[in-house]
Amino acid sequence: MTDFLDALEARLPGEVERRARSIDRRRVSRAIDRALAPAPRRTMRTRVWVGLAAAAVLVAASAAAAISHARSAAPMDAPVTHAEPAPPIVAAPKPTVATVFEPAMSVDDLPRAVPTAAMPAETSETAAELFANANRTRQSGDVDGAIALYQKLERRFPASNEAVVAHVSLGRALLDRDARGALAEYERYLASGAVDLREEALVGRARAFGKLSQSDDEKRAWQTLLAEHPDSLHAMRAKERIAALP
Amino acid sequence: MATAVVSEWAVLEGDPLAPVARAAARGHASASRTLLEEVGPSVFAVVEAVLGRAHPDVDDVAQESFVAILRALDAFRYESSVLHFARRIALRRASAVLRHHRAIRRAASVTVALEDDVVNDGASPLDSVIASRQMALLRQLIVELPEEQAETLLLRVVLGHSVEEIAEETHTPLNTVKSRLRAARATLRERVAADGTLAELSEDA
Repeated sequence: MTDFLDALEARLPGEVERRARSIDRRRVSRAIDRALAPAPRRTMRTRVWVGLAAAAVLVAASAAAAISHARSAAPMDAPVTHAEPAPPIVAAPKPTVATVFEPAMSVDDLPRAVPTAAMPAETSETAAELFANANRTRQSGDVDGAIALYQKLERRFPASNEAVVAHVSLGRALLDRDARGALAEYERYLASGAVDLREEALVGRARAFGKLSQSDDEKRAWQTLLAEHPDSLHAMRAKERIAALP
Repeated sequence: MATAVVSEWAVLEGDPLAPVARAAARGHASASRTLLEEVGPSVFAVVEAVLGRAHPDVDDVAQESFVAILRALDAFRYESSVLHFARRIALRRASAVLRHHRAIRRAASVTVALEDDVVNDGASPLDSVIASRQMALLRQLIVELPEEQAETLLLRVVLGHSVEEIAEETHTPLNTVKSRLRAARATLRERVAADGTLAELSEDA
């Protein structure tokens, strides 16, 4: 009954990415203008007065404390000495909303910020870098690009923890394209003995069997999931599939 | 071999927005604008996905999200990409608005969502209608959930984050994330079963 959530999970992130590419830039700019606009004058004035009042209270309190301290530290009949006056403490000017920040460097000097996921592969990139790039690529909706990166990770760093976790990520990415390939990835994760994503791998394996129309295997896979994770997020789905399968 | 959950964001130098965000956090006005221009379309897309494209508050919520993003930069620890950080903030703002207005919006939300929603431009008309109905159902149900469950579910469904990614981003144990998703699904299931309209909406899924 709630399998529509699975459908949304599979579809919505990619659609959000596509929608982001078609948003009217003028609309975005208008919202940015409003977000960066100074606060209303009335609010600013209130803030200034509150700040001045607070400063006055602090000055008065400091003066009272200084007088009190001087009286307690020096006897009334002690000779008055004039120590070197301490330099006045001047608070650093605090920026206000209206302050214009002079950039220490031009924004143009910064790397062009392009929020796309795929990063050029570096020859020295680590397993963690590859894994991060693959995940970002997948989340950006570029499933083919993500598959290539996960596969590269598994080839270059087969013994790394990232490669083990990538079996599940790659399995999910392959599921709608190459069910047999997805099944192989889930099997590799399960064979590794890792446990963190075992539930997800069992679900993925069952779904892959389903896509391959291997009913007996699918049924056994769902039964395994229920036996190991009776409270699984996918328990209802597993029970429905078991009941529906011959 | 036991594996630790691997941080996706172990390497931050690869995030092209990080230097811009750092400059913006230092009060660099031009950097703030550049940052918002880069994340702005994604912020709008996330807000639209949560509220519905035709929701009258989309632009206001996006603007509020921009302000919230700039304010949060000081505390941002660059444990995720800047874009994901911005999208999470937008998702939370939009979710809060959706939940706050539930009493007013609920009756109208289905109509609004069916009229104009986030749909795949390449989808058939039937697929688009089904997709819109699914989104309407999600919105109707998301307001029924406790806040943490709703946020976890939205991170999963709207942003496509895996369980382990959500655990890292929300600084929540993996099993807690799973429990929240499980509870959210259970609530949705009960909600659908008890409401004929929702059951009818979910049939297309």
